Amino acid sequence: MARGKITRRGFLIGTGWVVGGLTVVGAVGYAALPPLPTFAVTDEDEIGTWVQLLADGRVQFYVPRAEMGQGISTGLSQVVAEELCLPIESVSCLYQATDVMAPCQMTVGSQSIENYFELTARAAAYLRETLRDRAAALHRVAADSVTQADGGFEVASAGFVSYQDLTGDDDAAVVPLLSTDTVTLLSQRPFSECKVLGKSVAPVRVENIVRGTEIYSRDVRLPGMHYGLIARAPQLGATLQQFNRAAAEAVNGIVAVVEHNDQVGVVANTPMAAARGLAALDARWQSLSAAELDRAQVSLDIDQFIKDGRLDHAGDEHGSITAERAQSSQHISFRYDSPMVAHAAMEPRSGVAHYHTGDDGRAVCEVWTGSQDPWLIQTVVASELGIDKSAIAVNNHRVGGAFGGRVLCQASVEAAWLSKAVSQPVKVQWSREDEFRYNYVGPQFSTRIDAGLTAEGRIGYWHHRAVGAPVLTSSMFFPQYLHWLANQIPDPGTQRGMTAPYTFTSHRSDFADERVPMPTGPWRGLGAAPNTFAIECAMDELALAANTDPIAFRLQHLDNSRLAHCLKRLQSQLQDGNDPVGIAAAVYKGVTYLAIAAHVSIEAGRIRVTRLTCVHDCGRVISPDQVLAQIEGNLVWGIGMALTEEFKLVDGIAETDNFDRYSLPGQRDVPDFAIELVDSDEPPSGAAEAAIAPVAAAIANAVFAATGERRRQLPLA
Amino acid sequence: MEIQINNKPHTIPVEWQEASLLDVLRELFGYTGSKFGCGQGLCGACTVHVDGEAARACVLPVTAIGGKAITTIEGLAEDNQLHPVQQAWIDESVPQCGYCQAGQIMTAAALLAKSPDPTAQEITLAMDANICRCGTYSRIRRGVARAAELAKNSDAADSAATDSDATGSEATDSVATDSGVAAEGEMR
Repeated sequence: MARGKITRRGFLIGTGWVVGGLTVVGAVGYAALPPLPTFAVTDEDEIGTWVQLLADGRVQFYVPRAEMGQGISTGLSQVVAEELCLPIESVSCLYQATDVMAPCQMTVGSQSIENYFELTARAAAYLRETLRDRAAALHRVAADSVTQADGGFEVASAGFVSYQDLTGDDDAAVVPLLSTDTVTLLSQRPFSECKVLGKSVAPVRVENIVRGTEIYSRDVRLPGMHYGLIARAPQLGATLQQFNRAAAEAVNGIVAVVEHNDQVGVVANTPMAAARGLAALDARWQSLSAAELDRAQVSLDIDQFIKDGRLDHAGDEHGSITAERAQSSQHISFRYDSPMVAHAAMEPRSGVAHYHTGDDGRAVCEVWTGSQDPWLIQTVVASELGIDKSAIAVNNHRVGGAFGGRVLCQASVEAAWLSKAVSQPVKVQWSREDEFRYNYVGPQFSTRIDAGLTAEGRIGYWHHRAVGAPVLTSSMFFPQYLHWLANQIPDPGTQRGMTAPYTFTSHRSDFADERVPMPTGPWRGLGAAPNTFAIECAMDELALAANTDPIAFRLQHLDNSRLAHCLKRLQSQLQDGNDPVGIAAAVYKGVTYLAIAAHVSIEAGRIRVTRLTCVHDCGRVISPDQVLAQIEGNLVWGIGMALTEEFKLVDGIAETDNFDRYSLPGQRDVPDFAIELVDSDEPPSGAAEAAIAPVAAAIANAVFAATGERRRQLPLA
Repeated sequence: MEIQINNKPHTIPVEWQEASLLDVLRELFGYTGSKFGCGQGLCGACTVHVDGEAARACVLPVTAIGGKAITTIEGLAEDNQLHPVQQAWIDESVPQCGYCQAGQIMTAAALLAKSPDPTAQEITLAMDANICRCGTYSRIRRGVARAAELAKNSDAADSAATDSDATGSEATDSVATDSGVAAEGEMR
């Protein structure tokens, strides 16, 4: 579409650096593996295409991360602007494109700043230094006599030389010559000395959004584009048995009925014709057996897993919980449960694919989608179409919300095989019902925490036992023939946040990932929110047992000075005389620290969150307003998780299929927030899914403060 | 069959006359600013104006439009000058993923057309049926309040021809304070 493609000739002229081997084909041993998400961070010698100086003097930046609302295109554009001494308005950002960039790690885990801050800075700094060399060569001076100025250089003999003066006389883009020499990174100065970093700026492309001109993958329209729909099983695990091809083909506007593996779909001239064709297809399904359906209904029960000795994976362990149990004078043993949850991103997924014969006569397929991992889409499409990955170009778009649910974008794969059948561009758009029914969900968690207090009121032992379902070793990524392998891996997603941030005399965790029939996978924060719900509710129960203030109790068990600081700041923000308050804290992935207070009121039995106060330490903050926005979003997610959100499966059929059956927080459920960002010189860490972790526990603890009633099962309402 | 979209006549071919207004806008004419969210009028991402009233295009058959004027997000700015709600959305950095925001903005613009000086509670109620999964609700409230001030200010500037820069910055400061206080009051 409108993406500014750079010709290969452009690269050659621009730099002498050939952009070859972008598609790194795995070693032979990888042939047996399914297409896996892109786990590796991009190598530094492959970042040269990210930042480009165009002939008209503009700087174009291919953001190496998917933008899905977390604001990474803004934060990393600030890094580029800082390195090139430009105002942020001079950097125009583009989204990922597999034919322009080497693979980038899938955008998950709030690690864009952690893993891509410095790489982006280097890409921009290399361009700056390449331009400096050009300026020196042009004016026949030594490079070290060319000094940096805003938007260009000062050259002793020639005065100001702008970047534009250094572009060629053709349409080639200048990309950096990568150098192994050390390069000075302007973005690593203290932010107080920076011009763009550490400052709040308007989100990049915000004007496109308010004008309605930002293109999401659903908005892509191509000449000659057709509309595809897939027959989908109404019930979990049902298999396609028969369909009426002739009736569908007879529908006016139907172009093709397409079978692919065990699926069938239609291609039509209009969306309405596609819908009529799908109805005429009258697909019939073989349901799972009653026994299998019973299994599909399984509700994870930690006590059953404990009884059956099925907690296969050992988590952290310190000291002897058995010995300390004998020393303890008070014991608690409580069970905490959280249900399956849906991502419910506002944009139901879609994809457009155009399979055709390329200039060199071989089959190629171009894909337009919105995914957290366009290189995974490239690999999956290649595998489904039986053509080489190098023949697939994936253009990523701004994603209308992802939250872990868009690592795979199935609609783009469906569009690809439909397009192959008709050799025309085909668009597949999931309905809201499809989005709820056919994506993976965040798994149910069932947890039991046993802990005890010494006579001095300190926690002597802490035993965290939990069962969840696979998050990162999900069936979405590991096909059935590899489940035996995946099942051996203690799922790091389940485990996230399972180790309490406190110092106990002894602690231990044991857990299991039960592969349930409903596909499960990453949901904002992975295990962090359900695990923290259990941990922080148990801490509240223990504080009460110790007859100690909940903040003071946590501080007594903290060696971690950054989390302690958050709790002390939180304490100072709390005023007397407010509604009942609940406290919770968390350390997210060992790098982001936060403490939260929830105020609630109970009106006619209905829980209402009246205020949320959050102290958040994610190190140096590149873009303060974007971090605030992420925290605000996480607090809203925490409200939904605490009060209403639950994905329900009944007889293998998703009862949850639209917003009337999956209750999200609305305008009136969301109070104003008081958020404090801790001033820190520590390296920047993640914010996009950190703050959700302790919210539900804070709300549950506040409900206890208000009612004297412990609720240990989510949703609370 | 013809309908008016953003003050321009558009002809609907026969094969598209069974479509929803939203499909016609997005797929036939390329007004893709209005988004598909739920298909049942539950989320508000598809909100457009029908004769100035906020309406959900995903559940409106295009045949029901008749002679009524449709305004989409693309038609909200006049002569390329952003509508006060659009400007306020930028000033408050409201959008995250941005997908629901066209619907939010159209709902807010319809509210302000009827009620130019809404109370905090009116804002909350008017915006309550527009879902934002990113959770930008508190900024949406601030955005609507700021837009009301911007509109007032621009009306005042139009009539009195005062120094628009000076009044602009003053009004901006007072909005931020006012909306904060109003929202706090509502909470308690």
